[in-house]
Amino acid sequence: MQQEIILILILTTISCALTGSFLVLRKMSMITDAISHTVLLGIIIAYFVTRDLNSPLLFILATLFGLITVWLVELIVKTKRVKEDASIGIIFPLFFSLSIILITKYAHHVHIDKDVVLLGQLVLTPLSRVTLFGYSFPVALVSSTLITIINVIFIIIFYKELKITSFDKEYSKLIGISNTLISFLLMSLVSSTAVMSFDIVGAILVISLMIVPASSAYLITKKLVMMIVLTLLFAVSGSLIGYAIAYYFDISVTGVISVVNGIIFIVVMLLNAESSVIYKYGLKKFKKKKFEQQLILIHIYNHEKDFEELGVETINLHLNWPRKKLEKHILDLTKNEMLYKNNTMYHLTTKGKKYITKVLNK
Amino acid sequence: MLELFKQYNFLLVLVGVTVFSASAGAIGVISVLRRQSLIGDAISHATLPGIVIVFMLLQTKNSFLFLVGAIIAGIFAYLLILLINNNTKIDLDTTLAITLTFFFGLGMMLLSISSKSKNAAQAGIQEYIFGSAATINQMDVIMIVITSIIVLCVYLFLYKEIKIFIFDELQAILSGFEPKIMHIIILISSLIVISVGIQSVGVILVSAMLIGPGVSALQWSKKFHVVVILSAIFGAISGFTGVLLSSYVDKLPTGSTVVFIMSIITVVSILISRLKFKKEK
Repeated sequence: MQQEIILILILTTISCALTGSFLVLRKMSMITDAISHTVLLGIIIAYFVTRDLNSPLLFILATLFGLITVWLVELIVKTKRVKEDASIGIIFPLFFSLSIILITKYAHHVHIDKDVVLLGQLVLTPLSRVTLFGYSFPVALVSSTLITIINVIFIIIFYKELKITSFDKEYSKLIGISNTLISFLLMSLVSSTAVMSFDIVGAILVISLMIVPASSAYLITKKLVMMIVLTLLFAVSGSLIGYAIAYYFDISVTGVISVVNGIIFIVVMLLNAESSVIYKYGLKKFKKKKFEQQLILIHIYNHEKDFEELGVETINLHLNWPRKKLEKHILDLTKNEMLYKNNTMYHLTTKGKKYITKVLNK
Repeated sequence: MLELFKQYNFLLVLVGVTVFSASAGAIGVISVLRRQSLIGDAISHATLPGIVIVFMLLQTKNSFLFLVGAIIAGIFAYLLILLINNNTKIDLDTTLAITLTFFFGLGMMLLSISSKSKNAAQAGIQEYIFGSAATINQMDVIMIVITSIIVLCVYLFLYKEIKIFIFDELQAILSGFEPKIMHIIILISSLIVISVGIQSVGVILVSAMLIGPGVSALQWSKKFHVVVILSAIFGAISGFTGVLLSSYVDKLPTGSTVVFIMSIITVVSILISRLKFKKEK
């Protein structure tokens, strides 16, 4: 049973992360926030019609609601009366509040539970089973395998189109690739993946799995293939680590995996040279030190043998620096054999002279 | 109908939700105009771990300390947003999704840790996710009123600054006040409003009360002061009717009803303004 849960988790992770990487590239991350919440309305309405939580109509209608969400958001943006961020912020509460009203009012004590919406029920997935080819599988395992296969096939077939439309919309138009069509296909995929995963891991982890690993990968690489590989690596290891921790301490799997994904992102951000605050701070300090030491050397070079300018007691007045700061640099420079003290005056060594003429480009 | 108004608890909920909705509408206009409305969504999700940590430390429900916890968590979330936004090539949208899931995940994780201790007040804290207006007490209403006074003061004393800040940040710098300070003032006041609203509307939907009224008001007027006032009115209307409706109809969740009414007002406003816009053409 444990293996089944882990397998379902990994497959869900892979399918979410795969579609998510294109959303990150297209800068459409918050649409997943909307979709992962609004599909609930589709599930509820389908449930009212069929009275069966395992009916395929649930899946179809929920996917449709995800697409309707995207369509409505775009429609509202097109009126030019509302900006995109606000447009997402209107449609998602509209559907989600309606869902909560319907659940509380009509579906009380039924299987649809408000908490499941957020947390999913990964641990319970092996309980509902289906028999295929004489073997018994959990329903969630079958559905997550299917959605992963569909995702992989889609990305392999439309790899070129996805790449071009994600990076350069103008160019895609020129060579006759319809961005609208690719967008529609991608959104259908995102929506169906969200619906499948929603039940298993809950709305919040769906967003986390789709967006966070892809963002971590996006920080490191500029190549799409590499980005997808890294995304999968981050996503699967995040889920496994998260699951292990949650299992060991017996706490919320969904919560822990979201946190682990976030931590991986933050660590990557801090370690990666391009985006690291630590690195930037260190670089700034290093550059400042180098510049100040060069200034001292240039000063000595320019005033060679001038007792007033270079005297051990007076040099700090001429540079107009605090004594302490200067002494620290001089000590460092002496260690590096750039200058030496003689007759209470500072002099450049041959190495120092060579270095400074190079700096001054003489 | 009048019977209901005589009930003290009902009045508390009615006043609390209505006043909260009005102040949320008023302060929300700023982020809508600055195209940062989803920051409110991310930050309101992010308040959950703050509330849970306070609960874990105290083991009782204390609205005021919950508010403090929520605000501190919100500030941390905002700092993370700034850190990512200023140091990486990742766009704001993605930054918000990362922050939202990280903090909300943390909240859920802590919640599952604290639920092991089987405290009777445990149920109370779960209400913060979806909101439960019925639990509003006198203390909560007082805090909501204080919050709305703060929002009112911000608008009264900083009206001109806010206006310049929204529409022309460069002009703001030129006229000699730091946009950074404005950022902080508006962030803190939005955070306080979000935090007092969470109890009635819930973490997930509270941001709708900041976005919806502002968007609706913008459909009716182009003057800033009119938009702010209209936005507060739209907020108040949805709060008031939401509470009324949910107390008449059986098993209607108050927070979601308020948000639903707000969303309907917004959609209708957009439709009407779109029709008007077409006619003018």
